[in-house]
Amino acid sequence: MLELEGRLTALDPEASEGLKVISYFDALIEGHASFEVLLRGAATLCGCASGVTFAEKVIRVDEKGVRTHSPTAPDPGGWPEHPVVGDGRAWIERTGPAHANDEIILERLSLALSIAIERSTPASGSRAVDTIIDSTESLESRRAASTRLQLGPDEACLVVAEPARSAGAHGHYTVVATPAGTVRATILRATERFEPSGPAGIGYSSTPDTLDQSWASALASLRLTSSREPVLKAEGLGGITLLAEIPDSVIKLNPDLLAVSQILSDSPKSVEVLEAIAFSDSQRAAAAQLGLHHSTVQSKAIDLSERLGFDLPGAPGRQRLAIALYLHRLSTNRFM
Amino acid sequence: MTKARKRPPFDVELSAVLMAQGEQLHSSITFDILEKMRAEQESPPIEEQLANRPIRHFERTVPGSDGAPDVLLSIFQRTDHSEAGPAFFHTHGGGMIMGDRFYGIDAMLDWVENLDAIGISVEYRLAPEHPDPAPIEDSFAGLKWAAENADALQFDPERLMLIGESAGAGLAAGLALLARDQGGPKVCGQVLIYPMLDDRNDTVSSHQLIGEGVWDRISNDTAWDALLGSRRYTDDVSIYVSPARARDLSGLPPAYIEVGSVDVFRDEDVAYASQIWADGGSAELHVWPGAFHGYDMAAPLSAITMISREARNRWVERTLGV
Repeated sequence: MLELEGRLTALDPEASEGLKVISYFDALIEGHASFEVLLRGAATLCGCASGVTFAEKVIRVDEKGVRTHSPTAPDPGGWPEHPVVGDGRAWIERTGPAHANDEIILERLSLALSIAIERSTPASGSRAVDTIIDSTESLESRRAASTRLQLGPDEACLVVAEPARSAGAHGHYTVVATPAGTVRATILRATERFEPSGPAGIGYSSTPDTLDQSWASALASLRLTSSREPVLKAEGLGGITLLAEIPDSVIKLNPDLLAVSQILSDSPKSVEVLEAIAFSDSQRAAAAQLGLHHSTVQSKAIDLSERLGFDLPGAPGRQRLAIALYLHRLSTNRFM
Repeated sequence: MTKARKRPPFDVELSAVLMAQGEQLHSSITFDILEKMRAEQESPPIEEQLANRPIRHFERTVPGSDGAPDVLLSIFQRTDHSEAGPAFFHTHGGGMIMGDRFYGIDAMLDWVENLDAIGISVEYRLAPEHPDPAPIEDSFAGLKWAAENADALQFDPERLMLIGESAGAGLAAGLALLARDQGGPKVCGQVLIYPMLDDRNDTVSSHQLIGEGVWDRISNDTAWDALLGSRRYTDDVSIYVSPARARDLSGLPPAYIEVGSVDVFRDEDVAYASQIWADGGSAELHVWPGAFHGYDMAAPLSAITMISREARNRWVERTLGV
C-alpha cells in the first residue's frame, strides 16, 4: 500500500515518481532532518549506498540505511555525484546502469544537504530566524529569538524571500520548504542596502514582533514575480499580495486563469503581449513597450479578448487580465 | 466531518514517506473505494518475495471449522530445514476486509531464514462478503491443523508462536484467547504488531487521526462495520473478534505489543498490555514516537523501523529460547 522503497526504485521513468522524490526531500527539509536521515532517504530511494563530504567531514549510509563507521571519501568522479555548498559533494554508489530517478534524487539530496549544512553554520542564526517568521510560534518565543539575533524591539526590519539556491541577501537567514518550493528567508534591517541577484520578494517593513507577517508578504511577493518584474516589494503590491492566501485548489479552478494558461501553453511568447497590455496605461503605451505598431497590438487585443472571454481595451478588462496573470504566476512559480 | 483532536507529531523521516505518497495516500478507506484498495494491496507473486532467500514455499488445503469451507495455508521453510524448532502462525493485516496471506510476511520470513523456523500463513475469508466469525474461525481451523501436524511440518509443538499485524494482530490476540478457552492448541507467544482490538473505536487516539496518516478513524469504522454489521457496539460481539472486550486476560502466552504514537490503535493497544499485567500475565509494550500505522512496511529503512525490528527480534529470540 505504501511501500516507497521498491516503487521508487522501479526502472520505468514516471513523472509521478519524480514528484514523490521532490515531496519526500521537501518534507525532510521542512522537518530539519539530519545529514544521516537525508542520506538514508537517498539510499532508500536508490537502493544503494549514498554519502556526502564537505569541510573535511565524510558521512556515508549503506544500502540498508545503516551509517558507516569512519568512512573515507571516494575519489571525485568515481560515483554519480552532485556538488553541495562549501566545495562539498554528495554521491550515490550506483553500480551498473543508472536508474530513472537517480539524477533527481541526487539533485534533491544535494539541495537538502546544502540547506542542512547552511543551517548548521552558526553565523546563519537559522533556528532563530525559523522561530521569528513562524506565526504559529508564541510571541514570547519569537521575541526571545529576535533578542538572540540582537534585533532591538523597535528596530525597523523586513524579511526578503529568494530562491534557496540564490547567492542570497547578506543577513541572518533560514531556508523554508513552501508551496512554491524551497525559499531562503533573510532578515534585514530596513536601513540595510539590498541588491538582489535574482528573483526576490521584499516584505513589509515592521518591528521584530511582526516579522512573521513581513515574511508572509515577502513570500507572496516572490511568488508574484515574473521575468518582467523579477523583484517585487509587498509595499508596492499592496492588497495584491492577498491573492497568495487563496488555496491552490481554488486558484486552479478560476476560469480566467484557465484561459490565460491555455493561451500561454499554445504560445508561450504571448506572455509579453499579455503583460504589456495588462500593466500599461493604454494600448499605445503597450505598443511602444513591445516595439510594435499600435494597430498590431489592437488586433492582438481583439483576438485575445475572444480567447479570454472578456474585453481587453479599457480599465476593467486590463485589471481582470492583471489578476489572471498574477494567479498564473502563483500557480506556476516554483523556486529552489 | 468531525474534527480530530490534536495528535502527536509524526517522526520527520516517517512523515516524509507520507508526504511522498501525495494524493496516492488513502488515509480514509470507505466502502466505495474498497475494491480499488484491494487491488492495490494485492501482494506481488510470492516468488518475488522469496527471491534471494533460501526458503521453500508450499501450500496445504485443510478442513475449515464445522460447516465452513476448507482453508488454504501457505507454509515456508528453509530449503535446508533440518531440526524441529520454532514455528510461527501468521494472520495478515488489512482490516479483515483486504489483503492476502502473503501480505506483511517479511518479518516472519526473516525468522524462517534466520531461526530455521517454520512459517505458516492463513488465507482467511474477508468481510463484508464473509463477516465475523468467518475470519477468526478460518484462522483457528488453520492453527489447529498446524499444531496437530507439527511432526509432519517438522516443528516443535511447544514452540508455536502467533504473529500478526493490524487486523491480523487482532486475530492473533483472538486466537490466543480461543486457544486458552478451548484448551488448545498450545501457543508459546503472541507478537501483536499495532493490533486492531476494539470495535468500539472510542479511545483518545481513535479521535486523533481523521483524514490523514494511515488507517484513520474512518477506515477503522469501515472495517468494523463490515465485520460486525448491526451487531457492532452491542453486547453480541465476541472477545475473539474484539479482544479489548475481554474482562480477563489471564492465562495467555507472553505478548509482545507494539504500536506508533500516531496510530488510532495506540490507546487500545496500551490498555491491552495494561490489562495483561493487571491479570498477572507477561507483556512487553513499545509505543514508538511519531510512528504511524504500518510504518515498518512503509519505511523499512527508517531509524524507528530499525530500532523496533531489533526490539521485536530480541523478544522473539528470548521467548523462544534461541
